[in-house]
Amino acid sequence: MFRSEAARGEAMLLGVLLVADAVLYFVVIPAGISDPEGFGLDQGLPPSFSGRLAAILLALVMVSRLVALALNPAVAQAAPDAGSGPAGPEAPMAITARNLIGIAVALLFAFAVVPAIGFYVSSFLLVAALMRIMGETRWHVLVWQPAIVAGLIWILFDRIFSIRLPVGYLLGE
Amino acid sequence: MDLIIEGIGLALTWQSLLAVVLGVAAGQILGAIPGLTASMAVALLIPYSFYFDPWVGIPMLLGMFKGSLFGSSTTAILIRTPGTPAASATVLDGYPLAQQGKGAKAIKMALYSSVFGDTFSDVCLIFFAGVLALVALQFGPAEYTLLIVLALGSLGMLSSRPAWKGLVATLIGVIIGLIGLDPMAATPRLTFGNPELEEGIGLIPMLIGFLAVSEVFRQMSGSNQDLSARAIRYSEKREDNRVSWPEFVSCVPTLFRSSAIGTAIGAMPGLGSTVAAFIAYGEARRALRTPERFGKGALEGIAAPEAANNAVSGSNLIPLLAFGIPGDIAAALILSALMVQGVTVGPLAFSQNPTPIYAIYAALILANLVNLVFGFGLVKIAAIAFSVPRRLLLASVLVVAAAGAYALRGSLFDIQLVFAFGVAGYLMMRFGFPPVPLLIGFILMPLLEENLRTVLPLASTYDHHLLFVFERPAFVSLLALMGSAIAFVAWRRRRRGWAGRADS
Repeated sequence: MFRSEAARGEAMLLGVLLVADAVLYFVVIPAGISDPEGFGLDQGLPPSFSGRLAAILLALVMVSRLVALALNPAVAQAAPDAGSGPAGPEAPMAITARNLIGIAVALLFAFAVVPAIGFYVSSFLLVAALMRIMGETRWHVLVWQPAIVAGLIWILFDRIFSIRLPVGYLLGE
Repeated sequence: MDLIIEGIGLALTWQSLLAVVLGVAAGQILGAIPGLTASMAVALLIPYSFYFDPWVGIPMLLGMFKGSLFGSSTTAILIRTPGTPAASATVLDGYPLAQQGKGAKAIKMALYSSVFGDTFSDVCLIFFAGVLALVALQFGPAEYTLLIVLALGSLGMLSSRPAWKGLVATLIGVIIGLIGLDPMAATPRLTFGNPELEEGIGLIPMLIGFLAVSEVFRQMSGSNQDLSARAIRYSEKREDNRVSWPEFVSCVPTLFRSSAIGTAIGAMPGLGSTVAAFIAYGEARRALRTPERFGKGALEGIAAPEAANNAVSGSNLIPLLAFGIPGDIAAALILSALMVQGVTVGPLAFSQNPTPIYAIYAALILANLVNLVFGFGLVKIAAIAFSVPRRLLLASVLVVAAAGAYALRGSLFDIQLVFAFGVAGYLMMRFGFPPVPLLIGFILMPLLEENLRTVLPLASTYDHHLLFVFERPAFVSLLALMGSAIAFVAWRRRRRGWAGRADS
């Protein structure tokens, strides 16, 4: 049915997304949105209405694409992939080890380090770690540049705007 | 006439001139910081403005409001990090142009477009405030729903190839927009017991995460040589650093169209500059003969959103000055400042004491001129600020983005959302889904839902149900206008197709 490699790949992606959409419609929305009794057209539409409508529209878009692919697999080959539109000029890229390590460090910063030791110390550590991951080896650069970034953020947010960034539970919060 | 001269005189003292200069300068710098929106910039300045004479404080606020809108485009263009949500559409063509070494050209185009859109809407405000406000008040939920559905559909389809990915991204944005309390029943939706989610997902973490953080993650895979080079490099060629007269002239139709869109949207309470920017971008792309240039650094792709989002800033003062009804948060803040300073606005002000209104008009025009002059300075400052090595800039963007996201609601959860959305945006790019339609879906979702959930129950009370909308002149006029625009574009594309086949 999907004769070309590109059509098969796209159909597989659509299949996965359709399953996810079904889970959204049949599991996530009923579990996450409870409609109060008596909601109908007279009283206003129920809270789950918009979610269900969006899930149905998602399914319609994806099924239409699957049908188009089945009828004419050439549409998959003709379509330039990622970001050829205005939303992103970037070509699809391979995920490298550096990307994965960088993402892991950033997530660690947001979910574990900032809550523990506060924003300013974490900022210093994050900038230093990411610069190291991105190839900076000079230790003095790894100290003074992150220190300047953290200092500028302190001046801007704490001193000028009086916005208190998190201090961290280990350092006083 | 005496009243007009008196009003202009109030706004043209050296103190108010200085106030406008300070306001614009502070606004441009604050606007460039991710997370600090135009409303937030105005809110930060309001307490200080009360210490001054009204005709120093008010021009300063207006200057800051206008300056922050332009300032936010600088970072949107250079590092794909919009300072305010209104500049997120500017990323689409501004950033590709900056990557080609034409960042200065892109910022200058944004500057000219901002000032053009601003001045256009100010002129409309001055001459047509009453009429436009009356037209805007004819728009009800049915018209809003039509406008938003068409905007979502066309932007979703136009923003990617294949179009289904853009539509899927739009609908995912709509679903993320559901998270929080239901606006009518006040029951939690998709929060799963997490109290942080009950307030809903903040727009700033979404924007910063999907646009800036995802881009940082993407660029990390560059070579060591790329990462140690200067982050932003302006081309050596003179023509790459300026907007030539023919280039500007070629954008004039886009500027007029987008300014008109921004003015119309600004006059309608609730839609705001972000919506105006995206709608104008979509219209510009649809109207041009070479839409394939969009997304690759088309000057029209910068002119359209910048003219539109700045046009909103003038026209959202229309309902404010004509009826005393603020069109958005920034206008509400300006209204509160006017009230504290003892300046009355609304229909009675026009008939009984119009002098302050004319002074506001003069201050608005003055702020546009100062914005234009100071904008050139910002181009140079940006070149210096972003001349650091790319690896330092990328790491710093993450930290500034996190601080900006925290600043708005003071929530650690927003910092975590920024990074979670950054990963999601990175994966979306990896699989070819454009992140911008997702953001548009998210931004328009509350408005769409509110209006749709008002229209449908309302329709059930009519004999003809949903057909009642065709009894509304505003709905029919809007439908006819949009239908004609779509038919015209379809006809032009078909004609181009025929011409192409004939040539081959």
